[in-house]
Amino acid sequence: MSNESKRKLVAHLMRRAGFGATSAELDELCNLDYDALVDSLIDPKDTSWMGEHMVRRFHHEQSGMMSAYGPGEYWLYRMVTTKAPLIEKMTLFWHAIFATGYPKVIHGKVLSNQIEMFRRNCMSRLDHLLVQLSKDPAMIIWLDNQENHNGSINENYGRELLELFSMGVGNYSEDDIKEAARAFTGWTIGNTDYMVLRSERDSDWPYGRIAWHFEFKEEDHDFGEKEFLGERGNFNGEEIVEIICKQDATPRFIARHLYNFFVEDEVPVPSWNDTPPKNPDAIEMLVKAYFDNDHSVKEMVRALLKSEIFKSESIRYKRVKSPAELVAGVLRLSGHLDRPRREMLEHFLKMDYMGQMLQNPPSVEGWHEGDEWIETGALLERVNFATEQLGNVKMPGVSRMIDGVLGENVEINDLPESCLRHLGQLEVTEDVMNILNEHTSGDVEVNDQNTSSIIRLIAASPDFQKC
Amino acid sequence: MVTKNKEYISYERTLGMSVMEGKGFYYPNDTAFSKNGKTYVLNRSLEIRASGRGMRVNVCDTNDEYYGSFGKFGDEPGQFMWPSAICVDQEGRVFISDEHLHKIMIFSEDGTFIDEWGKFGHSEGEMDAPSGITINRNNELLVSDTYNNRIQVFTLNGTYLRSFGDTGTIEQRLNMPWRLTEAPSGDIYVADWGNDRVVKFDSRGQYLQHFGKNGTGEGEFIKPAGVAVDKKGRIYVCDWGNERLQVLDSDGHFLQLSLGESGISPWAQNFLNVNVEEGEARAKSNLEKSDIEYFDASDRNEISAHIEKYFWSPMSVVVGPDNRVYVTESNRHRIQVFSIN
Repeated sequence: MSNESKRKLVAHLMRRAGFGATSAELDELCNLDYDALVDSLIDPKDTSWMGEHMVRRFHHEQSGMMSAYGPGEYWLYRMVTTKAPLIEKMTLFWHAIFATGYPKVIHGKVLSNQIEMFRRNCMSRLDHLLVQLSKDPAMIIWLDNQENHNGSINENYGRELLELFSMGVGNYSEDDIKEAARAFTGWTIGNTDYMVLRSERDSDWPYGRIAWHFEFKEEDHDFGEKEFLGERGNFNGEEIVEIICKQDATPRFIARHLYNFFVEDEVPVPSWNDTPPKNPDAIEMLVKAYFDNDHSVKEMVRALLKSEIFKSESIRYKRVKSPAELVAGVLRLSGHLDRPRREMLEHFLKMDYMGQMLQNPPSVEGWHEGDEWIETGALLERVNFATEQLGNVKMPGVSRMIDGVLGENVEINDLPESCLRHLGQLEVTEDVMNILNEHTSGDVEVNDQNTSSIIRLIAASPDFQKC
Repeated sequence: MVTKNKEYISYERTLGMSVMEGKGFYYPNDTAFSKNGKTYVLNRSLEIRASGRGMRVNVCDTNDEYYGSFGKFGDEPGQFMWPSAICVDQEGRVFISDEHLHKIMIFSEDGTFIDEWGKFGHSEGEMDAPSGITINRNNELLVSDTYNNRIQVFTLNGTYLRSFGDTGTIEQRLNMPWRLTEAPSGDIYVADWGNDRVVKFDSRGQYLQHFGKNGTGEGEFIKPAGVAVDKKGRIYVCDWGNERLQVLDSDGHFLQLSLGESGISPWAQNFLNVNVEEGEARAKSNLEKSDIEYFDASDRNEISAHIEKYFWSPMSVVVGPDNRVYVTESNRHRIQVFSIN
């Protein structure tokens, strides 16, 4: 493989398994063997980021997290500054599936703690992750499991656990839902009455929100016999999860999500029961990785990222970046978050204007992704954000890019290619390249201003919206 | 001399509660006292430009009287965006620093805006994120110039006088200093946030010594936010990253630590008396559970998020005119008061 091909492949990996890479980062990463690079993303030695203390010193709401915005802003800092981008990417992956939102929970801290739980367990055994999810205080309130009592079940969590979180429609019965719900009776949060006042009035908790914790109320648990997915026993929640994770449908469902997230956009989840996967071979490979490795999500991800399916040039620039991917990627390039910035709130709100407010999904089904991210208003926001950030020569990352381009002493005709390299080895369609060439023809000089103009044009191109 | 098991401070009471407007605090980050008996509490609040609600200075006193508030969000003269510290001069004028707008604002004792000064930069007299401020006995304003890693000294109307903390050996240099205070002796104590220690300078800014190092043990700190010194020379440190208050003797030896033990303040009690449903739900709750499973059982931030009585983000410590220790907690929107024994 030529050096350029390797660099393009690594850039592809970093866009999909991270939030993109700068030219300097690519120079370093290309020294590694591809498989070793994947391994280092999956098991990163350096997980540092700007740091909790730096963020909390300057952003007090990102410390106390009373409102809807604090947790998402805090998370965006991590996405932009982390040395372990795949961990944040997988955290984002699970957030989109186990979508939990502020309007019902009304407690930023517990939503942030849920994200931390994903961060810690995003590539664990699926069984472990689902048990942690079932005990997660934000999820318990989001799906009303505090109302799920012995003798008076609330099916919400049991239903979504099967339908949206593990197996998908068509692989279980209504009776299975009820039996699962029985197994999760008594799984609630401590001090339930006080914590679920559901009030936006801060003074209900005179010293601010108190973080929630899981509590198992034995006296409210149904210890009776249950029949679930063909098995019979006095199952509790953990055992229900264990049975779910043994089913063939479960890794198929998760595999399709992984394929959709890392490889190419699938049809929306509600259509999965009627529409076959785009690449059945990929699903089979991932299911095998799951069963061969004791239900390990990590090994599914490793198998996928090392596969020829993932490396193929045919899938590059086929996925529309989610707003979180776009905003985090642009900010990594622009270098604006070299310290805590008051403008962080505006960056966070840009994601909302583009259609994705973290920790506030439109429904329990999460966001509709793919081409649906690109509706007219959102597209304008996306282009404006990218061009404002990357067209600002005062941004440290932009300044470095321009210096890097000028340091190559390229001829004017090579300016577009040089800018693409410094934007993270990007590739553009012929149409876009023709436009870039039009701007670098004639008596145009290679200088700061023209380099900045080309960078801004690339940021405004349709190709920049994809990864 | 350190007396084993002696209590050098005792929790006495709590001021305030969480309220975005009016009688209460919202992310308070610093407290100052004036000679006229007023207590000024600076509230950072949220960062939402559209509303700017809650960003204000509360005027109250230590007997729970509430007199009103002043100041508001914005980038016009006399407005603030990241208000970071507050102090009061001999004449009762109120000084506020803003670490986003890089300026110092001056208000009259009743909150009328008087003037402001300050400029972003790295040269003499310029500031990059002014955080802690204090006024010394010579009527000079000392500013923690955070990202310039120094303390700058100005006249009260903003004329640059001198700076310190950014020269000398590496050991003598500050790293992102936060709050600072002038001790009764005239020495200057700085919470050297980035170096996890407290540094003592003489009144002219000559380095004298430092206390503490990174850690969770006694006399060790994680990102200390504030420091105060009482008449006996005892040092009180807001050990922010460890979510605790530490008491040291005048030589920096450890005496006592407190994780906080807040009860209900009169303002909060009044709210709970009026709002019966909330009060009853609270009364049935156990807010001091010891068997909570944390991701990391040593994570004091997470523990403080769950246990309400503990300090959570203690950002400022001040010895009041009544010789009590006032600890302002941002995330719990209150001030815990300790008597000095």
